Amino acid sequence: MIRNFLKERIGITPGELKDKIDEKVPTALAREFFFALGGIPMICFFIQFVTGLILGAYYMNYSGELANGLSATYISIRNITYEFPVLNYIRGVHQLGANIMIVSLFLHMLRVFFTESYRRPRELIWVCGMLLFFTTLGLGFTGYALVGDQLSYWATQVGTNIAAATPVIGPFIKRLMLGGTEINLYTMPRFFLLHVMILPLLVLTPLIMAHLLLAREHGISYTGRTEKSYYSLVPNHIFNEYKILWVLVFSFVAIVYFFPPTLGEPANPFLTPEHIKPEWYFFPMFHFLKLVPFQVGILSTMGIFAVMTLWPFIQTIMEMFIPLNVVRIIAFTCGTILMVVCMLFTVLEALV
Amino acid sequence: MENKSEEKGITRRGFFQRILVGFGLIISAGATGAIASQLLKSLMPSGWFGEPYVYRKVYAAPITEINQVGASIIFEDKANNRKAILINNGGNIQAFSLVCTHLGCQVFWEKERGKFLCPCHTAVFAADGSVESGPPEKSLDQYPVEIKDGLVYISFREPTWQPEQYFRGEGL
Repeated sequence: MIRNFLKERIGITPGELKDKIDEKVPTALAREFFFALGGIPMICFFIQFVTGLILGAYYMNYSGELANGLSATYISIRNITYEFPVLNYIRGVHQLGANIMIVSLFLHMLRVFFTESYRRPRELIWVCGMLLFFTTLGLGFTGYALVGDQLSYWATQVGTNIAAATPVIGPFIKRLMLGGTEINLYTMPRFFLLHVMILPLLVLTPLIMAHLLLAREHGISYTGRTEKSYYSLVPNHIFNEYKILWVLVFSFVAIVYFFPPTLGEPANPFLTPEHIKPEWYFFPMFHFLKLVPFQVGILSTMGIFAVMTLWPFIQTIMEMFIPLNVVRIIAFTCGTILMVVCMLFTVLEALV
Repeated sequence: MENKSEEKGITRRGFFQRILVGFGLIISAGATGAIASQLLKSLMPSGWFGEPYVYRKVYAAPITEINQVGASIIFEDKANNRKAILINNGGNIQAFSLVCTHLGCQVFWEKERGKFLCPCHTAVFAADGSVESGPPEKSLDQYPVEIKDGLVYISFREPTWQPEQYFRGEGL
């Protein structure tokens, strides 16, 4: 009866819908962890979305004084962290989810890069993926800025000044983000808007859809060792992802139980704390900026990001002039060097 | 059709239609651009190219406090977001901004060493504001100092647009 009802009204039954969206997935995805890492950031994004909805109901983005010299932002986060029940778990899971999202993106990128899964015709999947990666970093940055404690304030200050160093449009971008020439009362609403609306809904979601549709169009590239066999996306693979969702949620909650989220001193524009650090995933860039002159640092970081994003095309062009094996060695070496340098900088920065 | 010109394969009517569509496109593109630029401008309260700066003279300290060579006072006015350091550099009283010229962190004044240190990227500035080491390329901003009747005044360089004033009801 329901089937007929749906068929008549929307022209498709659940069974037909299943046949439409079903596809064959390599069995390896269920067995070899490294080939299934792409799903984890998406599951994390779902967790972030749900926890973010709840946090957003308690968050205030007015950075002016509310009471006792504290900003409304700071007080709302303090209440979330220490006063209301359950909400500190929600905040902890949101924080941890962001970190795991970035870790799994890193690993997914490494897998795709070192198995050369970005080769023709899958170049655009890689480009979409890189844009997704940068958007996720942007979400991390804007989320960090919303907390309203000292580290968050100074991370915003440093981050927007880095953006301001972009040639030509930099100062404009900075003023657009801050809503003025310096951090002011209009800054927080803008970061809030970026964090909850513009980046996740207007940028990330369309990119995820493009990434998935393209991956579906070309099929998942599997270059592993086991024989090729397939299982179905609906319901088997979806169910696997669903299991991962619950594993992640339970482990996040367990970790948050032992390491609850904390809140630092309230933001003070007149005092930079002695040990200021961004989130760990910005350590490589942060450390790099310490080592080289400012403009050189900014331009070369942007150059590296551009090369990373367009790498599949660059490799294709290189292959026209250089033998394939040599190109592969170059790609492998560049990737390894970049990875090792990033890891080294992260460790060095963590030790300071 | 009699109006058909065979070589170009286009009718008179088609020609005018294309011109009309072309004009329509140009006009709608212009309108979209105008509206989009106004929308973007509405997001830039401090203007397209940033606010012009003005100097505001503020009383900082009596001269007696900074008379000795090497003396320093930190002047802080939280309500108006003003902070500067007064230093007596060999009898010459100078005022510096404490904002690092690299990425905008607040520098610390180390009295014993007579240097400014930035905690963010470990930059060091000398007592006269010049860069000694680290990534900054510009020396610390210097504010004009005026001494009148034994009182020291600092002229702060400030953007003309202060959003806080709208919250206090002063801008309306």
